[in-house]
Amino acid sequence: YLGKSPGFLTPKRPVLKISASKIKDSAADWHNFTLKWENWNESGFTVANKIVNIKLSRQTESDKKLEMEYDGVNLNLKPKQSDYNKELEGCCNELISTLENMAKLELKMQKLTSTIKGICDLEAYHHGKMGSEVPLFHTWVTTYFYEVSSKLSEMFKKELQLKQTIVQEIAHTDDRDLMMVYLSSWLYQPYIEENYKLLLESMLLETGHRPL
Amino acid sequence: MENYFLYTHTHKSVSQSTLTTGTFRRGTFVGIVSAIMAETVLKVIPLDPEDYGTQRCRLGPNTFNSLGLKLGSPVQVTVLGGTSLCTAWLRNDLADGFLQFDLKCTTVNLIEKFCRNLMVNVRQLKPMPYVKLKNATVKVVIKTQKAKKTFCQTMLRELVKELLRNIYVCLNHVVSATSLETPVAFLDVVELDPFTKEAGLVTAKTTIQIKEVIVLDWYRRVLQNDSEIPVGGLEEVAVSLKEILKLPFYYPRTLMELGLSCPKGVLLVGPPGVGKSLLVKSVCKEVDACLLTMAGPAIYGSRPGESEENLRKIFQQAKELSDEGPCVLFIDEIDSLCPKRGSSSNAPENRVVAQLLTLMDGIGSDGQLIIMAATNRPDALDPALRRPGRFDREIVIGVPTLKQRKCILELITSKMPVSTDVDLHYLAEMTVGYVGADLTALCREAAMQTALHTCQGSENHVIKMTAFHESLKKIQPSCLRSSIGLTEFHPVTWEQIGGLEDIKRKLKQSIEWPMKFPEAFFRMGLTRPKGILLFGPPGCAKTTLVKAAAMSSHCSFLSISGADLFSPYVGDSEKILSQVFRQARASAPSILFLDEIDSILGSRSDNRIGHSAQERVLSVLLNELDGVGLKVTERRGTGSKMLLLEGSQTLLEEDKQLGVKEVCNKEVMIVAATNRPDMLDDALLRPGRLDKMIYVPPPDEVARLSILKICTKNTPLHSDVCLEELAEQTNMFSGADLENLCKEAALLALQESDLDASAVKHSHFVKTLKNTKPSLTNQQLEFYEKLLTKQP
Amino acid sequence: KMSEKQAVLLVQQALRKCFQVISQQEAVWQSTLSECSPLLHSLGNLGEQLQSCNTVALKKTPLKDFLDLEQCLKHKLIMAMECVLEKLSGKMAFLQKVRDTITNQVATVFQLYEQHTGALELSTITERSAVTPSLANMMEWLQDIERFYRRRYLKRKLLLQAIRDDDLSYIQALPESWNRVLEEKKQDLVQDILLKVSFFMETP
Repeated sequence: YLGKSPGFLTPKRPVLKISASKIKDSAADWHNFTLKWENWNESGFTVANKIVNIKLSRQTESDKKLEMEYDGVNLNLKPKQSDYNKELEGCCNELISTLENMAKLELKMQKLTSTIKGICDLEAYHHGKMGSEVPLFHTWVTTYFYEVSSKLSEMFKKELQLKQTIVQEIAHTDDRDLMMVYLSSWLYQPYIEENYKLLLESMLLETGHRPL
Repeated sequence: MENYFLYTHTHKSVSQSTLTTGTFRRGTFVGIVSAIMAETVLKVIPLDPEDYGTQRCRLGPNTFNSLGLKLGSPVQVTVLGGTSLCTAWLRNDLADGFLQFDLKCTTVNLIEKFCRNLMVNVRQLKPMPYVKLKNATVKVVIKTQKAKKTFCQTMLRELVKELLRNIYVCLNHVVSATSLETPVAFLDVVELDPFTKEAGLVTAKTTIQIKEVIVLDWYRRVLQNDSEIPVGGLEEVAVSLKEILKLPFYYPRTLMELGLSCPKGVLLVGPPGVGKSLLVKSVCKEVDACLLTMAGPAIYGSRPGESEENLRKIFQQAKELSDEGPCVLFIDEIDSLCPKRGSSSNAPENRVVAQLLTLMDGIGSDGQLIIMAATNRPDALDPALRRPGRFDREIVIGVPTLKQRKCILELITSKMPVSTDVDLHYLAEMTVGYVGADLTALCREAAMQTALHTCQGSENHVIKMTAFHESLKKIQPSCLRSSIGLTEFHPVTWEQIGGLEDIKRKLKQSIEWPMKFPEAFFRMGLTRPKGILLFGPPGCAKTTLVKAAAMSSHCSFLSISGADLFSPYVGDSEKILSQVFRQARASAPSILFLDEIDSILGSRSDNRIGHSAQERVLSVLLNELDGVGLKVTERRGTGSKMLLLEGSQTLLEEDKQLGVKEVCNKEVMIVAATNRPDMLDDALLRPGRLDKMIYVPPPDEVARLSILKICTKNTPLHSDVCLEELAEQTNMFSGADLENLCKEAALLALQESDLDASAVKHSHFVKTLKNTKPSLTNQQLEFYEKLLTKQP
Repeated sequence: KMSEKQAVLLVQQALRKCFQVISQQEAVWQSTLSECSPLLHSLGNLGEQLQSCNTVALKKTPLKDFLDLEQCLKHKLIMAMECVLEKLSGKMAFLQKVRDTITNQVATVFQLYEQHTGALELSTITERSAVTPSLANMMEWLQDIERFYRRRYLKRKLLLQAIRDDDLSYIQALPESWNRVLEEKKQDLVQDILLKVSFFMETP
């Protein structure tokens, strides 16, 4: 985790001091949020994987059961099945709570973006259009922070929607391939573009969290 | 053993030198004790599995030393007409007298060969000096078309370089990579830099150039085509076939510019054994096309849809091959694959035909793939196959002519030790109706005869004319091999028929002469009879006379009688009759003998019930006699007319009808015989049909005497037997009666003497004669006489 | 001119050195191979995921509202695959280095042998004792080992080269095909030979 506002750069104009420190804090927040997201994603994937495995093993189990009945052996598999159901339910609940955490995180990301928007608006109000084009730190104009931030928010928002669908549906399909798609969608997060790390890192670089 | 020592006659000096150099200071080898022979002659034994693909050859220390080899140095093994370049290594057990060698780098003819049961002389091993190569240029033989497409040039070059790394190569040798699981099968070394006729080593510094990439199937087929295919008597057909192939294969663009579409299918039509498949092979080789052969019946699978699938597969294969260059897909016996649809209400077969049509229509017109098919029953084919864009070219290969037969015989016997007394021209004359396969069988049989008769000691295996004569008796032309019309052909000569000199002369004039000397007939403005009707009382040698005529005119002889035609199935009799005519034409010049023609036909005016079948038979017979039922494709002949193009066929139809009759019927002589000429339909006797009638009368006294002489030729007669007297007393006896009389007399002699008789006495004949009645009656004779006078 | 004994000693020394190098390189080879296994596993797994992506008709699933999902997911998966392949090619470079080191060592021995071949009688190079295999045998073994490494490397390289984006079943089967190269006969050829020369390597 990056600490907020450690010994930072001397801003070029005193008015900018507040805006700059807020932006810098926001950048650190972004970094921390994405890290948390990745952690949740990973643990969520583990759970989702478990769910799929339970489902798959039950599929083969029921195949076996069919065979057994065919052989005229009547085995009472009910208690076992309820075990499965219990386990499956547990996993689903776990996944739901993970998703809830991610949803909270996503909300925070949105808030963060609107905060940055506020700073931008403030800057524009104080200095007019021309003034906001002066970089706060090195090269980025204030609005650029907003652009990056909203781009990131958008990605995570979309990704969250996808994950919500996955959580709703993953336990309700018997199609092996579809389960596979759910899992790989969860793991590889198709809506989070690869350049997000680059954006984030350059933001950290600009705000001085990373040494030049 | 002796056979192996082909190279041994000068061995002594070699083996002595190996002995002197092969003496070791610390000589503890087992090998040194082995016999001299074992040192100079090495037994080839299979390679150890670990050594496969290593280019190693393993030798005993004596051989190794005598050749002055070093470990891993290149050595050339010459064997089976090829060479293999190996590296020299020692056998682990250090035993001499054996040779194991890998076929990693060999001449083309040793590819994938097994060297078993071979003896190799030390002199067949040669140490090879080598250079390190700067560059090697190779043709790459790749396993599949798919691999060829997916491998990019640089990757392939890299792979080839790796495959050749540390390998010794020779110019025009092929490096085998089959033991490795790579897409590459072989590397054909075509150029070496620096140039060397000896060995070159591919090192890390050697650059590799790929001249060409060839797919394995293609390479194999081109390799197989490598040996010369001798074809005799088919030159003219071969030329026209070559022309058909050459244009689309080599000048597709020119054809396109001229607005001509490339031919896709060629149908070869001809009787079995005439050399259709051989012709295709030979022509493909000559135009450098890859040949993929498929036998029609082999396509059929038991599973529904399997046949179509097989067909698709083979077309796919052909298409892939044609991506590499000109390719011919040859479908043998296509009639079995594509019978007329509908006629057989046979759904699976119909589907196969439909599939074949679709596949043929699907072939692009780039001309690199041509489908050829062969059949001996063109009319059995589905007509849709012969439409434009499919098999729209047809080539007819007929039964070989005299000249062609001679050509074929020359070719076959060129590789046989044939005695100088063998007259091939005479053999060619004798073998009317024989096709190439028959002639091959004939020569093989003659060779067998010779081998059987001379096996005791005689070194001199020369095939003499007598062997061919023997063989001629056994080998029948295959177009006569079907059961219909085939007669047991006991050769009969004119001399074996007693009397009837007048009739004999007539027959000679009307059968033998026109067959033997058609030019003379033509010169004198004579038209020969189209057909001959022999009539006369039964048992008077009509059949025998015809046989003798056939024999003396060197003709094929087909005979059919009423019994042959009898069939309970509607339409069968007609079919059989047509078939006999077709066979007669196929084996022309020939004589078709319709024995007891009255029983074949009956008469139209005859009002018996069930005559409708006979009417149909009659109309078939009339048609065949007129040449109407003749198929143009059966025609044989020479020159440009043989190539029948779809377009020209209709144009020439009229001319052809005339020409065909002229060409064909003159070579088939129809001879009919009956003892009820009154029963025959008048239509049969009109000019142009059976227009010559010859009466074969019962034998007169002179004739009877000669018949009796012939019949008693093998019977010991007592001196008191007077055949003249018997001839006088046997008025109204037919030839058959006389033959019977002789037999009965001989039996009587045996009976009287309790099987101890040594001769037949005159009394026996007299006694028999008393109990025998002649089969002929005056009434009968009058009947014939009347007919004869009625004749115009 | 060098005596036969000296020549033998020289060649033996070179052989000893060569076997030592082989022994070290074999260890590098094996450890590199073991690092490859998980990479191949994930490669196969990614192939399976892509395959499922192709099989499922997303329009008929609850994911139908995510219009660009298939495209985005595939893109991600392919990126992941490329990442794995890059790591693998790094490993292959290691293997190639092992192969080349061995090739060079073996070539050195053969060069030395060729230089002194005049001084070496056939009886000398075939002489063997309980502890020392014959020179002929050992040189043969060197060649075997070299060919073995070249072959094994080539097979693996061809396996990786044949990867196509559109042939997913090939990618899925890749871990298995890779292991098949491992399970081939004579896998322990190098170990076996090293065992045969172990006494020889210890003698000074």
